[in-house]
Amino acid sequence: MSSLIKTIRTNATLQLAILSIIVLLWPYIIPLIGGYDGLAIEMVIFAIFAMGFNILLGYTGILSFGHAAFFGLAGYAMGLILIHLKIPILLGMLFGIALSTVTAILIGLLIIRKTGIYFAMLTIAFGQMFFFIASRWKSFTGGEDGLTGIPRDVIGIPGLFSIPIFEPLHFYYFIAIVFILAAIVKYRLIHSHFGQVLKTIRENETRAQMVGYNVRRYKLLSFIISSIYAAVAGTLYGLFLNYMFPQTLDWIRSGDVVIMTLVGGMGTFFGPIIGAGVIVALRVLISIYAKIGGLVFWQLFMGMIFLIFVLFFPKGIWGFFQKSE
Amino acid sequence: MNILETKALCKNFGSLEAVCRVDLNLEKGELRSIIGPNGAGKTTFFNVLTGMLTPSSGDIFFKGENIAGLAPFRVAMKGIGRSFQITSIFPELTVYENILIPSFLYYSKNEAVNRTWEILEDVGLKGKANVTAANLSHGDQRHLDIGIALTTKPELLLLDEPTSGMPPEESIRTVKLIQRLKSEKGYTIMLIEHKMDIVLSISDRITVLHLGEKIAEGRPSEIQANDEVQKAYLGGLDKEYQMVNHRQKQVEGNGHEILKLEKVNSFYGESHVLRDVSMKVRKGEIVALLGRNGAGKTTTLRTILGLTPARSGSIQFGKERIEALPPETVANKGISLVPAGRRIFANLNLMENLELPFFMKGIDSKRKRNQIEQIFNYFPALVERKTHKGNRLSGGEQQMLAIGRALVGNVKFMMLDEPSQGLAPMIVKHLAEIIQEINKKGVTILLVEQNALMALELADRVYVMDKGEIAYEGKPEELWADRKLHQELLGV
Repeated sequence: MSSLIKTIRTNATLQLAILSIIVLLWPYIIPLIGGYDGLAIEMVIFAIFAMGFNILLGYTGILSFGHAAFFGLAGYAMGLILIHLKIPILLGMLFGIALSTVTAILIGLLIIRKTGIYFAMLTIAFGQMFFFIASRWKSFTGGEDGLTGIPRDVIGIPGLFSIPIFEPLHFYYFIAIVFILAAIVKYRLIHSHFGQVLKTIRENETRAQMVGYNVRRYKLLSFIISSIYAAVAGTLYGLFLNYMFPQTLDWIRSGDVVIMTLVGGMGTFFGPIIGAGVIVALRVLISIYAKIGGLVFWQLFMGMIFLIFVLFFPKGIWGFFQKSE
Repeated sequence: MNILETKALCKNFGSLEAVCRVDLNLEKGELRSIIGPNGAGKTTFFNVLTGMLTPSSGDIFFKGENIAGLAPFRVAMKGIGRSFQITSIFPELTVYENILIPSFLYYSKNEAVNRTWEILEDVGLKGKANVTAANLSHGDQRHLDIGIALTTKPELLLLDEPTSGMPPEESIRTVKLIQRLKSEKGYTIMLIEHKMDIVLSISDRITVLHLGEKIAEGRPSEIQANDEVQKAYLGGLDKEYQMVNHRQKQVEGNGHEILKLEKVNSFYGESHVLRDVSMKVRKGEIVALLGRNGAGKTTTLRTILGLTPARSGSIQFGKERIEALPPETVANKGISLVPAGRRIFANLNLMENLELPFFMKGIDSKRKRNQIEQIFNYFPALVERKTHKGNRLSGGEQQMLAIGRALVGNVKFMMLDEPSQGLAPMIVKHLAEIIQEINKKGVTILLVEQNALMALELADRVYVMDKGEIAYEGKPEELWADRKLHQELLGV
């Protein structure tokens, strides 16, 4: 048994395979803890978001409170083009992701020279710009009511293939595949030379510069890559709800992903995936079971959970178990 | 052939000329030392050379190419590697990763791995490859810092105080490493160093900076004989002279003990650090507590203050038992600590740093004005630095500020932890005078030092610690006279 655990701990392919199997079986496991397909979908979407965000926060050591902007922007852009032009969903997703990425590049170029708290403040400022556009430009974005009617019928290329994703379970398997691809890409990324350099920047930015790394370029790339993950998650979220609303761009949503990453374990591969799952599940379960006088106070519980983690488990769930092994 | 030439290189911070029209030529294969008092502009000079600061004017030619104003990473790629005065490593990565990751930029994958082992061998860390860098000893971290500098295929190696904070026996290891890098590996090396014995023995040539300007340059023997250097840097300091001049003052205190430790034991977690430490300090004395790195000196201070509470034994201050009291209560009884490394808030200016303890001790503004005036009387040099940020102060100024800060409130007993660390001899001498003056005004002093000379000159009595125990107690001149004991206990 212990030799099996040891094999798992040292074999990356095996780890990824186990992760994939769990994700593929997830819809059949989740009813056991009182969940349902929709919850499974949301967990996996935010796992993609947090996984990418971890590249920036956990591996590069840069805190952003604006990544929901890229999440929401991609969802809105995809939704708008699908509604108005009726192009295939995959193309719509690509459009949303591309637009969001270009925005991330432009913002990144502008603000990456700032560090620490100043950088974080600038990300909030930019994020809130998009939040206000989405909530005020009613004729285009639907304003506070949100953008309704985002279609989710089939995934495919006309004339080649076409897979229905209308049923939640079918849609789940679509995002599960996206998740597995995203996980593989991230795994390779953080174990590449690029990922190693990000770690040196996190550890000691000045020194990383002095050994010859163009630190600003690496930081910018990390920012952009994490934004792409946010954008992918955002388009999936829009498809899932058939709907986008301004709060998806809000800095509070950005804060959620920071919390997911922290609770799961910054700078670890599996941590943010677990963190996203746990936070999403808790939010739903607390909303169902923990009512005070008929009112739901899930933020209150979430705040307490966050406090407990920061105070007693600073390395997150994954970090805690890694240490105790 | 000159590998490096600077022409009229200047760096100003506002009106302060930190580096001023410096012309310097460095030959390939040379080992050059840059010396000068604290605040002479040595580290600023390195920072300008490596692109961390942009020169205000002047040129820097490296292998004939002007590199002034290039970004730091470009300078590194050109072949200038550097180590840092304050150890700069990647703390949460392993020693191996610390070297390997930077190597990837300069070598193919396989070469990088080979090169990493080669460097680890050179800096003596091969056996610690899998240790997390943060867990290395200070000396090993200093060597790792040099190792990281070697990854960049440097043709010129800049070392900023490679032996800083090291006890003598470890410094020797570092000196040997530097000599090997020069003679066997052929690096051109420029280093900043305060320890004159090291500088004089290993340098081909020495450049002396003072207040940003180059005041002398030449072979070690020439520099030693240079009057201007003597005046600016060494301040006429001479070991034997110092001891002859040992002040005649005998213990003035009426003999009663202000501090008394009896059989004190302290632990860090499970590790037993202080073993039955007993010592006493009489009112009005200056007592020195000496010993090698890790002998338990700092722990003794921490235990007195209650930062590392004693597990057993008693500590008496005046007539009270204090071993069970929390640090803030102990501090309020009139004990203060000037910590090692000074602990100045880098982003607060001098005045703000000085005012902080007043807020914490709730001292009213009238008394505050008086005390601040008093502090500036001790340190007139600080007056014009009032608005300078902590990180813009020189090492000497920071130390003065740290002592000034520890004088706030009704201080009867002051403990200083390595006040001379990283300071030039002239500044150390000045500091010693100030400590004496503070003592004359009625503050009893416990001085922890690695710089045994300074401590022996000042102290009325000496304790030497070894492996957590008091190994010697006596008069400084007796310890000084007993060379054998001296060497055994202090390793100098």
